[in-house]
Amino acid sequence: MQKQKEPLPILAIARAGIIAALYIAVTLVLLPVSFGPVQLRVAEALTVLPILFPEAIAGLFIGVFFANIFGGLGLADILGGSFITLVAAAVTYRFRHSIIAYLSPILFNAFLVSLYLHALFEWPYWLTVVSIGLSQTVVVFGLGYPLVRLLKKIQKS
Amino acid sequence: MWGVSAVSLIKSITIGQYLPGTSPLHRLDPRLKIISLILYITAIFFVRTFAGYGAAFLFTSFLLLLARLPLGYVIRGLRPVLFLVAFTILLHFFMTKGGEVLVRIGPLTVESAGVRLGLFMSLRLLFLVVTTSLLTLTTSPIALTDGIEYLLKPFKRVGLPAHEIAMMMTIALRFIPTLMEESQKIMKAQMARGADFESGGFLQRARSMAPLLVPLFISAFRRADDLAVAMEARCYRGGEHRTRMKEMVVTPLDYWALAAVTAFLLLIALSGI
Repeated sequence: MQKQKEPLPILAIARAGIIAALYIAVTLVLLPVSFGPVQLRVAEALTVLPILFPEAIAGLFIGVFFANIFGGLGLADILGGSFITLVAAAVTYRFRHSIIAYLSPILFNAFLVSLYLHALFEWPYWLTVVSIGLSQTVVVFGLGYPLVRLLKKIQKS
Repeated sequence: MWGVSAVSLIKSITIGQYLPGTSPLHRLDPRLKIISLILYITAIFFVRTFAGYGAAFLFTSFLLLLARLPLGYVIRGLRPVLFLVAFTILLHFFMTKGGEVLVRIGPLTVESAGVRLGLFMSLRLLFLVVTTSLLTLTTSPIALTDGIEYLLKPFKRVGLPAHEIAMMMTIALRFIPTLMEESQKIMKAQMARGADFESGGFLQRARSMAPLLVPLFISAFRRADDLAVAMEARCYRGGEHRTRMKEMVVTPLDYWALAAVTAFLLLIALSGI
């Protein structure tokens, strides 16, 4: 997506924008449980969407960017969180046919988000890794996985 | 409980919102405002002592005054992070050791180093949230994306589609309220059919979100298709030769703002407070 000279197809732009809006809307609607060290960010179920659409990579990046502006821990979280999501989403897309696609948003978030939370606010690193990892696993496998299967079925029909 | 409370919470969300106005802060160029924010946040990370936070408090209060924002509104915006502040304080009170023992509860002790670090980190967190909301409260989303697009331009060389990303941001900002309203509607509709978003364990609760997310996603993707058709019909052709209704102009006021923030950063970094 990054290297191409042709302008992006309009549908891809529209879809990426809507995916970003979805991420933000779901995060805000479920705000009481979205933020915090023991976070259950239901919107993270969207992180598996690059399996179906490559433009979801950009959509997720923007979604996390704004969601963290609206309720995160300030600039470090806005930039850090969204870039980690970008990398994780690109990996998900690259390995979209294997289990790595699902593991990527879990592992990148658990290990890297904890890293800056530890560096900035001195939260205990491993405790944060376990807590974020656990919540990501629940959301990605409990919600993201069935969602992708369903959307695939709809796409086919 | 939070299934219901989530529905009523939306009205109380103030963070990330824009309050239109004509104050000097509102009139700043969005590009320089973003750069100033980055500098100011860097300064906050340089703060070493509580006196440093005192200085930051004075500077932030000055900015708040200048922005003519209702103070109650800004303080209400802090509510969602209070949980994190409490968590940070408790964590350091009980886990960080060193200095005198202040309180002893069974095997747990609260020591002076922990109290200091807990308060220090919570202040950092609060300042980060307030300064970031100073930007979003005084800058319209459109101006914000224009500023971001401009600042992303240098990355075009490495293949980053700066305009397209800004367009996606604009679409996202436009559709957040629509999708929030829709998700509330779906939540209420599913609750009326007996859906339960509240009880059960961790996994159960995540799974209970499916009746909300599936219809929401499907209708959102349909919306994206419609939007693409509408854009196509209006001959949208990306960033080339596109003009703006409001051009961004840098004024002397912007240079003054940038100078003030830079001076503050140098003061904090060099004096070591």
